Amino acid sequence: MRALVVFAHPDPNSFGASVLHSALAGLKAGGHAVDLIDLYDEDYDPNLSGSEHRNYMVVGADHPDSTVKRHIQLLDQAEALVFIYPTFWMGMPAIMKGWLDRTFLPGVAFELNPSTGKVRPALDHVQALVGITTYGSSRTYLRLVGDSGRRTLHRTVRLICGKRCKRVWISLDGLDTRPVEDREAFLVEVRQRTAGL
Amino acid sequence: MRTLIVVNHPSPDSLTRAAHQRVLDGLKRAGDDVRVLDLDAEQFDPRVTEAEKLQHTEHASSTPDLAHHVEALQWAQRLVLVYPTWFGGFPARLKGWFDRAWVMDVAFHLPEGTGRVRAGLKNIKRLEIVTTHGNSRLANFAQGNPGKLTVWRSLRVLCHPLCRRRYTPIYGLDTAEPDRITAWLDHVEELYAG
Repeated sequence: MRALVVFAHPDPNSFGASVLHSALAGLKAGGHAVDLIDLYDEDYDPNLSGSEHRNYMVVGADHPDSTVKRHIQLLDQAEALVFIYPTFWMGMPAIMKGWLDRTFLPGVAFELNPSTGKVRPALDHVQALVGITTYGSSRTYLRLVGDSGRRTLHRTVRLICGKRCKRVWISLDGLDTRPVEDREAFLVEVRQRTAGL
Repeated sequence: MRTLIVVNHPSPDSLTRAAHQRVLDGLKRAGDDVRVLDLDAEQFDPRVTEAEKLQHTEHASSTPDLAHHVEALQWAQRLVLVYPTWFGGFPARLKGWFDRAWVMDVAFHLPEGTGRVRAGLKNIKRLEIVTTHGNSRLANFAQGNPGKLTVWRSLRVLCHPLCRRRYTPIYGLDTAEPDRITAWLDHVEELYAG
């Protein structure tokens, strides 16, 4: 498969960067072709502008912003979408949420019927939707407050992917208090499960 | 009541901005003490910086340009979030406001050795959302409404233990008749005036 990896972490020396490297190694070991969008490294602007909002319904793939246009081209080729991020407030960091807002446009990621308001999927080519994340909070706390990031990917985004698209979630909770061995084991898990996609 | 409105929409002529104005009109009629944080007017940068991330679990103050956000959060008895729902959640700017302004020692406390989060915003007794949804209520249910979940659960537990919540959405905006939009705006103003 051709995998598009979208990565967000503000600290290039973080554990999150090790997670990214394990995922990239795993995907390559599994024989998958990989494209990478590193949002912080690209200094990506996640704010949908006023003019983007005005042209939202008509802009499509021929986007005037060269960065968004390049991202749309990568998205069009993707057979697996892999999102890697640290969970902030039970969701993806703002820079990644904004990537969805600006890239997943009508005519690109979904089709919107203007008279009925019905949404049809346009990411039929995506066969696997993968979320890889770390949580500072414990599993108990996660159960209590709910995982909005997982909902965003595995429900909201899943609805515009192909019918047979599979969902994969690879996560480590309680990161703030885990011993080093747990982190090492998680990196191995990331590598194995991305290789086996 | 001391009310803090946080508003986020890039277009001045959007329904979100119209709803924001009607919230203000209503609160004025009610005689509330109101402050507004307009994230677009401030050109708020929602990206957590490397330094902020490193300080995440340290007792460090937030970035200086966020001081007035923190002060407003600690002042408010009611927090009203006005935004469009995109992909089930907040626009990046508002998500980043939570990521950057709801920091340790403000939104929550983490007493050493306990590993357990304690509420930091017990001054907030009402948490309210006014939002627009392009698609139907049913479609939103299928999508899981992750934005609402974040506010209703993750952020709610950091407010007053008896904090009340109110959700004022309009659904199906993509196909809404002008009459329905007008009626919703009137409804928003009446809610905040009453």
